[in-house]
This record gives sequence, structure tokens and C-alpha cells, in this order.
Amino acid sequence: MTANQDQLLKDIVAKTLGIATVPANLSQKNCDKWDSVSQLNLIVAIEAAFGVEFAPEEIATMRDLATLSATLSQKLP
Amino acid sequence: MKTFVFRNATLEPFFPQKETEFSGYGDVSRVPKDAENFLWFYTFPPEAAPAEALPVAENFLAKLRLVLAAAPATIPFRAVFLAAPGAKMRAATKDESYDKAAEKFNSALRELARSRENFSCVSVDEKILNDIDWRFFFAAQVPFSPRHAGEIAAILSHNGGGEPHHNLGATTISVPAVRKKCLVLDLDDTLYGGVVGEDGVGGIALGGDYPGNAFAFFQKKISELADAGIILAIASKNNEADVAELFDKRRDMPLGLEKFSAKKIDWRDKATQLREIATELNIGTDTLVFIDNSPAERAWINAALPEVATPEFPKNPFALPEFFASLLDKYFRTEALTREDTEKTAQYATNAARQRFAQNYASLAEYLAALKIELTIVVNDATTYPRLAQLSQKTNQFNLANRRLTLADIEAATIAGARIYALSVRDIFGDNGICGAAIVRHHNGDCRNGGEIAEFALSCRVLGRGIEKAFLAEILRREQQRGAKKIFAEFVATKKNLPAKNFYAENGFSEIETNKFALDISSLSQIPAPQIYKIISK
Repeated sequence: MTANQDQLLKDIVAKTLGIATVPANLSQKNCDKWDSVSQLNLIVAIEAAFGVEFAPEEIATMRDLATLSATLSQKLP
Repeated sequence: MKTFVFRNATLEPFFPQKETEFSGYGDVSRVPKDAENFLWFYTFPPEAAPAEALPVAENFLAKLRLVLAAAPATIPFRAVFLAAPGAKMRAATKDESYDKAAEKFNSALRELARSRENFSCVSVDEKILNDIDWRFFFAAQVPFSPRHAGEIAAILSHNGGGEPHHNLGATTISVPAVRKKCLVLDLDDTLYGGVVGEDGVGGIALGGDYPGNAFAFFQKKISELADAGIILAIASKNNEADVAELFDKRRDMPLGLEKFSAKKIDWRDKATQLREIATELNIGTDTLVFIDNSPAERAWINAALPEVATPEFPKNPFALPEFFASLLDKYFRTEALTREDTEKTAQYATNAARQRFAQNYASLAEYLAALKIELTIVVNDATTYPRLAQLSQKTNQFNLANRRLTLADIEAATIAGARIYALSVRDIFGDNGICGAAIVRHHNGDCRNGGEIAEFALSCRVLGRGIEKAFLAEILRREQQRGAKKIFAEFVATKKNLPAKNFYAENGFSEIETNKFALDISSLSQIPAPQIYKIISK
């Protein structure tokens, strides 16, 4: 992932979850606003912004920023 | 709270979270009086068969009337028109059951808008309502693609009046050139996820959460195809005894064994199985469509019997609805069409067993009684454990102990002498499969020392009907029968389960310390339970 793509991902996460800063270790466990509904919204927003699609099995594992980023970068050309 | 939304599917992605509160799925037991406005937004379940369409619409109407009776007439109430499922999924294009059912519901909405001052109708484009993203449908019960969130928000904020748009008429469907008569199905990893001989009857993915729900959907649609006159057959490399056990034990299998006109379950090659099926049914092998997840088996059939259609099976279970629609398009719609008229009488005769639904009930209790809800409770049946672990881990709202148990945890608990209760729920609309999990541990493994409810979880799909009370009462009754005296229970609070906080207190338990409860059942002559349910104990 390029630096721009990385920034875009963080912007989407911040906007969707309604948080000001996105720490590198952000995960569902340490973020109250990251519930199952915002998880869904997050996936939809990332798919729309990057033009990718995730499988349900992938979505189930994408519950922290590191995994989000890793799963997304696999899909990018 | 600004808007309270009555819904039967996941609509959270379409609404601003702060200003909206949602009912439980299909739940009409709660009508908050402090809402600024109400919205009724039910969507047609895409898995409903034609014969189910009218009862589904009538059920929605009965619920809506119950809600309207309880909602203050001063609060604005809007209701979204119902859209019939898209024609793409229909086995027979001429079948108008869905459209008639939707129209019945929608004309009732118009009538309500005329007769009630605070009531108005909202129209959402059928194209949106029928644009399902199957990934989110199966993973989170989202009824149409979340990509339409912006459009939905716009429609709802504009008060969106007007009539429903009809965009998906039967005319958009092409009639296929090829006519096939028989669908030959593999079993393992085709009709359900997994291998029955290895994973066991309880370990296969069927029903419950994704991917099991995608396979159940696929089976239900195939069952509809059989009702429309297409012959079904099984060609499976399996032990016959395993398959017999599967059909015998899995009551939640949408496809019963009786739907199959021919069955080849043995270890011979599949070309031999298919030839025998064709002979047995007295049809040509060129009228067979072979459905198998294995590319090797499809290639084998392609080489041995090139006249058999061997469509490529989807890699992802969420693609099964689209796969089914493509089967209809390519091979079956003509056949279903021509047979439809002759079969219809017979079809409706069998479906007459399905009860018609009245639209007006004086009370919620009367309505629930009409659903003829059956609760089946089994104890220590290992085939239920995989689904119970799923419930323990994924249930957020009605999960009292929040233990998040794995399959290994449950197996270990059994060995330690715990009693593992599984609840299945069935009503006139069908079988919901296993929806409730409870575990009772006994001190030193002896129930006379008293028991502790170590887990109690109920799927949100069946909340709002008092089923949890009946489940608890049945557990207490059985523990009492086995000589248990005192039952302890704990409520572990999370962000999501607060509505369940008073469950034990409301059911006779006393709070011995914060969130810890106890009930002496040895002296209870009768354990109070809702009377409207039929309880089947196994």
C-alpha cells in the first residue's frame, strides 16, 4: 500500500467510527465505537473507496487496523 | 430517541445511529411512548416460497396492526411499502403470489393512511429493495445492499410519499432454450458446508450463521424448484448410513429426503450413478443437470456423459443465490412454466396445511398463540454443540453470562457432568433451527448439590415472544425433576445485553449480591411458564 492509500484508509476509519485519531494498534477491543454496525459500515466504505470486495470470512477477521490494512493491501493491484 | 424503527432485518447501516432506535428482529412487543416518530420498515424475506408469500404478508399486517393499537395516535407513523422479491429468483415467472401478497399489504397501508391522521406511506424503489448483496445478507441479515444507504436516507428524510414503483416485471426474464428435467445433486460441500462422514451430523454448516445460512437458502430454493415440477436426485459418494442419519436428525434441513425421486449413495463412479438415475426415472441423460462442488467430478461427467449439463459451482457460499438464479435461467424456467398450471392444484393442496393468517388480533398473546410456536429442548446431544458454541460466541443481546464458549469448552463441560440444553424453535412459518443455548453446572457433578446456570443465550431472531421465559422454566422443571434444590445464576453486563438485566429477577430469582441470583426450586410446586407454547422434550 502506498502512503496515500494508507492515509485514505485511516481517514475512512476515523470518519466511520467518529474518532479523532487512529492509533496503529486500534482494534475492536480497544475502541468502544467499533461495534458490529460500524464494522459493517467500515467494510462498505473501504470497498467503495478502493473498489474491492471482501469475502465474509475475511470480514470476520478484519477487527483491527493491522488486519484491515493487510487484507486490503492483498486486494490492491 | 427520535425515530423508532420496526424492522425484521438489519437496517442500522441505513440510518443515523444517534437519532434512531430499532425494534428486535420482527419484534412488536415493545412500542416506546417517548419516540418522536415511528417507522415501519419490513422487507420481504427472499427465501420465502410462493405459497408462503401471502401468509408472510398477512403476518406483517397482523404485527403492524398490533403496533398501531399500542402506538399513541399523536406520534407520526410512517410505513414503507413492501416490495415483492425480484423475478430473478422465481422458479415460475407466471407465479404472481409474491406480487399479490405485496399488493395486499400495500393496499392495507393505503387504507390506513386514509383512515388514520398520523399515518403515512413511504415508497422505496423496488430496484433498491431487490438489490441484495448476498455477503451482507448472509453475514449480517442486511436485506439489501448497504451501498444504497445514501439513497435510503434521502428518501426517508423527504417523507417520500407516492406509490411503489414496479421495475421488475416478469417480462425482463428470458425464456431458456434448453429444457432440463432433473437436477442431480451432490451432498458434501454442495448442499451443506463440510463432509458429513467426517464432520458429523452436527458439524456440517447448515442453517445458523454464515456460511450455514447460505446453504440453507440454496436448499430452500431447490425445494421450491421441486414444487414447481423439477425432479430432484442425489448422486453422492458417501456411506449410506451417514446420509440416512443426516436426513433423520437434521430437522432444519429445508430439503427433506422425500423430495428426491432417485438416490445413489455409494462409492461407485458418478457417471454410473447418473446413468442409473436416468434409467430409474425413465428420462434421457441429456435432461440432467449435475451440481457438484468438485471440478474433478464435473470433468469426469463431462467426459463420460457430455450431454449432461455441468455448471461450475461457486467457490463462495454467499454466491449460491446467484448460482441458483443462473440455473433457473439456463435450464429450468420453461419446464417450470409449462408444468406450473397442472402442478398448481396439487401444490396448493399440500400447502393448504400451512395456515392462513388472520390480520387482526386483539392482543400480542393472541397473535403469538396463532403462530403455534413449538419449542424443542434437547439435553446433552453432541450434534447440537457446534451450533451452541456459535450462539454462545455470537449472541450479543440476550446473552446473560457472556462466557463466549468454544466447542471444546462445551465438550469439557459435558465431561465434567454439566447439562447442555439446546432449544429449537418452530412455528407455522417454518423451522428456525437451534436458537437457544443453556448450560447448567452442578457442584461436584451432583445436581442435588444445586446447579449454576453457566450459560444462557437466545438468538435475536426469536426475541420478543417470551420464548426465553419458557426455555428457563423448562430447564428449571427438568433440574427439579432430577432433584436439584437451589439454582444459581449470574448476569455479566456488557454494552449490548442491558435489556436482559432483569431477566432472572423477573422470573422469581432473588438477587443475592449484585448481578448474582438464586432460586430455591425444591419447594416450588409449579414452575410458572408461558402457556402458549408447545414444549417438546427430548
